[in-house]
Amino acid sequence: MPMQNEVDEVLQLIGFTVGEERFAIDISEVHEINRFEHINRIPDLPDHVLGVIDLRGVVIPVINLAEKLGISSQGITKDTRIIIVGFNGDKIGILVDSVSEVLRVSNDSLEKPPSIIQRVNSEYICGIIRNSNQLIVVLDFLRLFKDYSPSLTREDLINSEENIAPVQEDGRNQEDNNSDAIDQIVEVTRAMSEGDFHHEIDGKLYGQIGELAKYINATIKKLQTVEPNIASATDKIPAASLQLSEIVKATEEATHGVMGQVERALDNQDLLLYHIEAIGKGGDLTKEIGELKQITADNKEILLDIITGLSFQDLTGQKIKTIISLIEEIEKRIIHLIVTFGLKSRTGIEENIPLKGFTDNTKIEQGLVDTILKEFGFE
Amino acid sequence: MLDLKMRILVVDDFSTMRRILKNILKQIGYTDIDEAEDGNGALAKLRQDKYDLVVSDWNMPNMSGLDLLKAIRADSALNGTPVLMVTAEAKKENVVEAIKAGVNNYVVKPFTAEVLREKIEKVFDNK
Repeated sequence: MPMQNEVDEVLQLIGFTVGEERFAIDISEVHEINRFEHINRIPDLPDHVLGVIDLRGVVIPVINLAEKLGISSQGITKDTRIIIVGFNGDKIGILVDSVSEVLRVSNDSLEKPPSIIQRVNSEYICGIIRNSNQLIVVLDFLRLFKDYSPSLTREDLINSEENIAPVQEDGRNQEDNNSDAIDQIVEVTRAMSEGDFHHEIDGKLYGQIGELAKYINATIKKLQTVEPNIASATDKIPAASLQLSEIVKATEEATHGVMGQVERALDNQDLLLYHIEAIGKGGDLTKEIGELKQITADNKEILLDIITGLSFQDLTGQKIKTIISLIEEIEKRIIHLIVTFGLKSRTGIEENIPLKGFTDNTKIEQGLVDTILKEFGFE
Repeated sequence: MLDLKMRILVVDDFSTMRRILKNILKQIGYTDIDEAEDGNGALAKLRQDKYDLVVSDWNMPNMSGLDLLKAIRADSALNGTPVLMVTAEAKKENVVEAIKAGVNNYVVKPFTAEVLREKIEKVFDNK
């Protein structure tokens, strides 16, 4: 539960680095942070999109933030991380040089980007915070990649990225300006951290930043009103995962139990065959029939044991129902959150739009696998 | 004809799945079956003993089936070992990726004993 005393205006941020620069993002936007593993390259993607990763069966595009911000990264090191952020109902991965810390700062310490920031479209900056004499730029990924909105599809993502590809001076478009703006803001931030506060002022931009600051302020206020709800909903998640772990264990044990019985029954089948063949060869009829009776009685017992063993379904079924109700509770609270934020316009995003180059992203069956195998010369 | 004496390594992180595979392989007639619970364990075994066939799942912790396949193909002592993928990862790109990495055949879970047998036969017919 959040602390309800004097620190009720607290922001939690994930701090990370790209090149020499320090950035942060609101923790609530972050789904998970993964180590760098293999990224599947896809032909014809712009430089910003590195490719895709397979996150437990879901294909997620990975954006090179350094490239997007126009700063040079450290390259792939052991510290390289992919931050998975929610993006209009989808997920995208953001490649960063390292994830440094979780920052807990008071809302007041989030400063407006100074007016010295010039000719910069800085909508994607929530603000700047000071942390041990360093400045950290707090980014809003949703806005940073706003060009992919409002109804983003993966196709759009790729297309809009393509539009940012370099063009000649006379052909500059909005995306270019954004891209330039990002370059500039980084430049200014760098200058600031080096103590150079004498950059030119762009009045229009300052107005935009003011608007942004107001928006952020309002958002944070709204967030605080719903935070107790989120917190109490997320409290239930550990309970759900504990139940799920128990189910995994129970089903594993039960399955082994049933398989053990089946293995015995299969052995008995071989024994039955052996005795029947013995009769065929003129063996001792009374003795062999006695054996057959014994084995079939044994098999019947095994089959009944299997039926009893399957009663684990009842136990796991009850546990799963508990989990479903926990999830429904969480869902209810998230819907409340969405309503509070007025994010209705973002609903109705098409799901499962196949990624460019992936004509069939759905599960396929053995027959289709065989067709593919054949295409590759397998008999 | 199938060589029923051959040594098979079953790789799957689920103990129940390993047991199901072992049972099906036994029903087909194989007797020499060993198991490993991920790619790392499998590689260690493959480097220690000789196996005639690897039957591997795709999605496993530590080292996936695909990485295992790549490691086998990259190892001059092992690269002749046939690998049969038996996996629920049945998207087209998975299959194509496995083929490119040098898989010998591909079975989609859930499968029948008949399909498994047929695929093993094909692995050795094509060799």
